[in-house]
Amino acid sequence: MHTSKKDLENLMEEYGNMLFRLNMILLKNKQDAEDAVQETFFRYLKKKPCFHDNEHEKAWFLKVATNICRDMRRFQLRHPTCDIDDYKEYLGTEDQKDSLEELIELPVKYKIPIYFHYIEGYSVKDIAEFTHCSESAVKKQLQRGREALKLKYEEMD
Amino acid sequence: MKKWIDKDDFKNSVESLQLSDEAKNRILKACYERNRPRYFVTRRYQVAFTVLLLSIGVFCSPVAANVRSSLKAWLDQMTQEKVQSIYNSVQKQTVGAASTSRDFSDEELLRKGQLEELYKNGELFPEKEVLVLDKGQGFKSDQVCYQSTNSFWFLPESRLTDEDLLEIIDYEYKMNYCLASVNEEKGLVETNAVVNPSLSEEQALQTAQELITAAYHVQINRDRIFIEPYSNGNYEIKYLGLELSEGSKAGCSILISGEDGKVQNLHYNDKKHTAVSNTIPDSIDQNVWYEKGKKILSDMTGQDRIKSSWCLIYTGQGRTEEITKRIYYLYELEKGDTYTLGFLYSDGILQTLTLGDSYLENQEEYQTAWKFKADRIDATYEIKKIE
Repeated sequence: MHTSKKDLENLMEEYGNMLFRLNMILLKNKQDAEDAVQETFFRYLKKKPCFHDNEHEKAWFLKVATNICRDMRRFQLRHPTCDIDDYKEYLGTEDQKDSLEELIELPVKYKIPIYFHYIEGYSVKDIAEFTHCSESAVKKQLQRGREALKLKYEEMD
Repeated sequence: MKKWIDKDDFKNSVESLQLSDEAKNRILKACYERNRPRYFVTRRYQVAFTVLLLSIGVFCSPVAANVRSSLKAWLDQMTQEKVQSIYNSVQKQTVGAASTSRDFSDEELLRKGQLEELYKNGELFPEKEVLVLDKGQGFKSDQVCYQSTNSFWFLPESRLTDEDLLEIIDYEYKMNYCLASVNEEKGLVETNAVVNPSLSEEQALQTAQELITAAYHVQINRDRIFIEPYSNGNYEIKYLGLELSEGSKAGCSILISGEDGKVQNLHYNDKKHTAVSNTIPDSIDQNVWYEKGKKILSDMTGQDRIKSSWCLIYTGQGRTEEITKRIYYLYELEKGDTYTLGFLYSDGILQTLTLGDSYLENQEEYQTAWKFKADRIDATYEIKKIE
């Protein structure tokens, strides 16, 4: 059905920041992250999906954004490497910057489950459904992601 | 020595990434622009997964291969230096979506759509190339100019000529072509994502025209119908020529599956109707547009047999919302396909048509979706079987 401007503005308020965070982590670049948010909302407008509930809606946005980021990364049109300066305007302390820097430098297959689990609070089972992986694979990815983050901190010190 | 990231600190760090209000507004505006008929927004990354595939689709479509080969020839004649130059300029863009110094008028948008069809078919090209400005260069008040760094189109206040519009179209295609061309060389493009539909463009157009005629009883003006093949094999057809009442500027978009030729959905677009404050009265006639919907469906599918049907209305506090002005009918066909048709209650103009799975077999799913939709606008829904 038709999506009114009000609907879309409400959705932007609800999910805009969440999608931007995810996109920033996956794409490592503010411009690209904003582009991916735009593409996600545009797909919503085009597809006009129906949802069972708020969780279903949230999951749809996250899943579509993840796919869009994957496509964008695949092509690597610009900014193939992370420019941490893009994050500085958002960060309050050096510790925050370090945490974020560690996360964005993780391989994608680790940072997606880390993000969904620790930031968005999804269970291993939910992430397995998102990523079309087995639960045991997701557990392994989370474990390795955690270890990688820890190891990097040790190296820094 | 810090051995572990504190979970809360970690979450706080990530949550410090916030989209600015300015960016939110810009994104919303770009979405509305892109969603308009024959939208005019160039996005660099669209190339990665849509525009670029579309351009491949344009050149590869078997139906259109002959006529469109001349567009390919037109773009192919650019020198390597030119291609690289346009590619580099796109890479330097600092904003995500193109903007314009003023909105296109309805007439210009319509003409742009028509000219783009001719351009895509290789029948008409601009005589000159649009003026591309470097950063800091001033605009010329009487000429279309493009500032690449900001993805900004300067449009003169006067009515755009066909040549102006063609130059804009041409440069948009050239940007996409150059990105595709250079990235293909770099192995960045995966062309195997394109699905070749079994339905031809002509067949899709035919289906759309039959539906438009059945739903709105208008004579189709071929100049006002536009087709866009999607990389997933489906077709979107937009018709900008619905004049159901004097002076009304209505249109509709129809999505058709390239796989089985079925109409997936239709959306009617007319601000005049959606903005009015009429609502469904307290005492409704649930059969008011039922036969009309049945006839549209029969004309569209060629099937007269309807297994079951229902009437759906939304009522409640959110009565200013569009869905509360409509009456919906669900028609389940013999083979289980269920079409939902929404009519403006006051005058019976078809607003939406959607193909879904069997309602009889998926009642719970349908009802949770309706409830969710109703809850969002503080309304309730009511579904009644039509005997």
